[in-house]
Amino acid sequence: VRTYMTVRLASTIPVLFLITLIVFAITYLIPGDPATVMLGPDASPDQIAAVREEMGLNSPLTVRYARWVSRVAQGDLGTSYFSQTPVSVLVRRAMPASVQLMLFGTLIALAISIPAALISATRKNSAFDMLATVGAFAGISTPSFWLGIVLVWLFAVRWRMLPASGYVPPSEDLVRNLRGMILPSITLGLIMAAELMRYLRAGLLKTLADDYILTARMKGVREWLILLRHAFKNALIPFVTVLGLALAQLLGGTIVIEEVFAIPGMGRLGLNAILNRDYMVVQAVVLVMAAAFLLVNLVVDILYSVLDPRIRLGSRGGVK
Amino acid sequence: MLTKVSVGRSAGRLLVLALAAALVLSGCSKGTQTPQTGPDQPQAAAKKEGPITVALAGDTTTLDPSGTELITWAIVRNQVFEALLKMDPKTLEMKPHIAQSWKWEDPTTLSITIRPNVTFHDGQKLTAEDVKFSILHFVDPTTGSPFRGRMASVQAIDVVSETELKLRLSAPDAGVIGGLGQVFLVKKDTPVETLKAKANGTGPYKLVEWQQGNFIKLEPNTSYWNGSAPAQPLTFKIMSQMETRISSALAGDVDVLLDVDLKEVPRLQKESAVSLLLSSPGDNMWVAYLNARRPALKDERVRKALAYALDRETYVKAFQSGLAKVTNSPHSALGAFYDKATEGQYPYDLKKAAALLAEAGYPGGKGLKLTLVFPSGYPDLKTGSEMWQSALAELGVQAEVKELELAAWSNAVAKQFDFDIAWDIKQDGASDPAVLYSTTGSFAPGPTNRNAMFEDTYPELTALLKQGKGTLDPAERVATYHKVNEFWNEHMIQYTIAAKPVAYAVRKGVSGLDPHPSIRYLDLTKLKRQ
Repeated sequence: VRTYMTVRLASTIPVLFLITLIVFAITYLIPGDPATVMLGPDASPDQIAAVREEMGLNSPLTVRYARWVSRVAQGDLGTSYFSQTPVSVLVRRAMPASVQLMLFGTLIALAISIPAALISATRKNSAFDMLATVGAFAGISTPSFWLGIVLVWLFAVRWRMLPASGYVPPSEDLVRNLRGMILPSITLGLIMAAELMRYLRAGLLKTLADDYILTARMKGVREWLILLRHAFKNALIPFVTVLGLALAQLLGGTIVIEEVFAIPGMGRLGLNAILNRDYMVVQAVVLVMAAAFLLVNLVVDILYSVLDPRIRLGSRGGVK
Repeated sequence: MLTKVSVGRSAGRLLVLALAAALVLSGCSKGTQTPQTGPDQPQAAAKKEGPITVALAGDTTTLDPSGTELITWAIVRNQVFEALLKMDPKTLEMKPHIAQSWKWEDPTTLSITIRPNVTFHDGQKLTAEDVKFSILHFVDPTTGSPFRGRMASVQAIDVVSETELKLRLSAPDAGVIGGLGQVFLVKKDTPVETLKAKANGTGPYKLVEWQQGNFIKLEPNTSYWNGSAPAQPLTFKIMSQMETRISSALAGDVDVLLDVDLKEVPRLQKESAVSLLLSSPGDNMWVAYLNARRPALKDERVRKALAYALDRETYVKAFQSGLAKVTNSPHSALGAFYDKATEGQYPYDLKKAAALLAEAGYPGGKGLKLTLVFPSGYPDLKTGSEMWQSALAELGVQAEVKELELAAWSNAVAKQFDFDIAWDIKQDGASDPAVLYSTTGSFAPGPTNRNAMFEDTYPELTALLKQGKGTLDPAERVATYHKVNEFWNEHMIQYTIAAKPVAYAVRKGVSGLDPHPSIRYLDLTKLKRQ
């Protein structure tokens, strides 16, 4: 497993390098100019030119890329054009809220999708199964911002149970932090749960129809043991794949949720940076998100090898 | 089958546990409790303790008072920093503030006397040297103030004493008075990097913490020079979505909403949790730039036809809750320079528009294709653009409506001039036309303009503007700017659509908000909980 992890980790380095290139190129393709944004539409061309020079935007793209990559390699993400704050400080400040949101959202999604899929698969075509299926389709087709607004209206405005927006760091007040995270996490989790539930249910149904399950039943193994030890474990492999992809979607989903609930996370930081053409921040946010996606994929790959020992790099005759 | 039941039971138990945890969390907090009542029921007062929270639509990009003119920063800045003069909310005139008095010694020399007892938040005394430094910082192009043109005629500044200074101008410029309300004072020799990161003003509030993208916290300046420190601290919460801001106010998470969308006003008027306050329509204005760089729009008959083709009264009634006021003047209706005689001009009249187009060589709109651009995030501009588009279609004109992301819109409108018609909201924070027509004003003649104000096309207008700026006699200036307005409408230099009031909402139990028509000058020092 160690060799497998080392090889997988090493393979992320060229991918990350490629990402830096793409991120840099895409950032500079966005129409608009940070100097114009900073000075406003009434600025004269002279003023814009002066500020562009001060920001170092007049150097050739290749020079700017080389400068940026060498700094990133040394752990320096640059300085925000607008606030003059080191980007690493901005990222460090925004990261906890996003990580917490994604973690809670994922936990909620798993807490809903796994039991719902287990019940649905064991009670195919029952009222619960129908209800869960309808619920899952509704979840998949519901825009997260709309769901967020509805939840806020019900739980914050109408019933005054939870705050409508904002973020309090856990170190400041844990209870207020958790209260504030309930609605955004549920919004994020519900959407994700719908997709996960559908995949896990389908995987379980397929596995439950396999011969070895029939054999286990004939041998008198208890039904819950068959379900959890045999069927569920095997259905987990495609589920983990989908979970990895869903987590990637979650990275994008947080942007919307952070906007609706006014959470100062990575998504909001990135969005504001795009609107301001704060290239350094945009590049850093995309890079960190891409790195997070690679990390999630790495964890998924490692989980594969744990779930199915045949899936290991270099194992003889194993599935790779 | 039993096993299935047990799976279901486990899941059920988990669900009950999760719900119980959520209920416990929803009921406990170190913070204050809010009663569990619906919005239709009488609301309890806002939280009694803690700072007054104000929802802010966006963050600032700097703490340098002259570094940006973002409205969101201007609102915070106005509590922390101070200028020499302050705009009166009723008349929009500039009144003494840090400057006790000012006097024109001759048409190009303005002498100013400042208050002797003003101190910065760090305890240092404000002197005339600080004022000089602040003006020079404001006009420095690298500072980045888009309003720096308001003080462009300042050639030299002489410090006479600790409390007196003289501004020497390159030419007579009455607009400098408006500019003095825009120069926010900072301590002499403060490095630019420090100005960007640390706010050391003289205002009634001190900035204690700025967490980018999240909040800005202010506390009362207990040694404020006029002896009346604000009652409570302020926290600006950054919430970019209007719906989030409204929900948060209704849920009791924020106390004050600023610049509420006018179409949301009827909805909020029905909510007992908040009170609505409306300013008079004054400084804010919807305008449309008619790009006379384009051959078709060089012809003033086409520009006039476009003006007749927009049903502004319906736009205001249907989409702005009837609260805005159609205007044909670039000058604020609250100020002395407004000309009532312009009212009623350019009513919605498609017949007249069609006749003008035919006269200009576009019978039945044939051959006329226009691009109408507006920045995204402004539904009011989108609605207006689409209304205009459909009216133009009736005239046979093909108008393409483009919603551009703000930076791309800025680029297209101010840099590339790649548009025919562009919607904008003018928020200059100035009532003096000399400021509006200064080099960085909304209606600046010159290379950055987006309308038909080219010196060679309309020399008569250029002469009038020069006269208005260079005359110090108030009555003469009023008469001159009335002529400017007359000329402006006669040749449809630029289309002014409607003046917009500013809507504010405060939670019940919070008082002291004076609804300023220019949100840049909003004073929050009297805010308190009853």
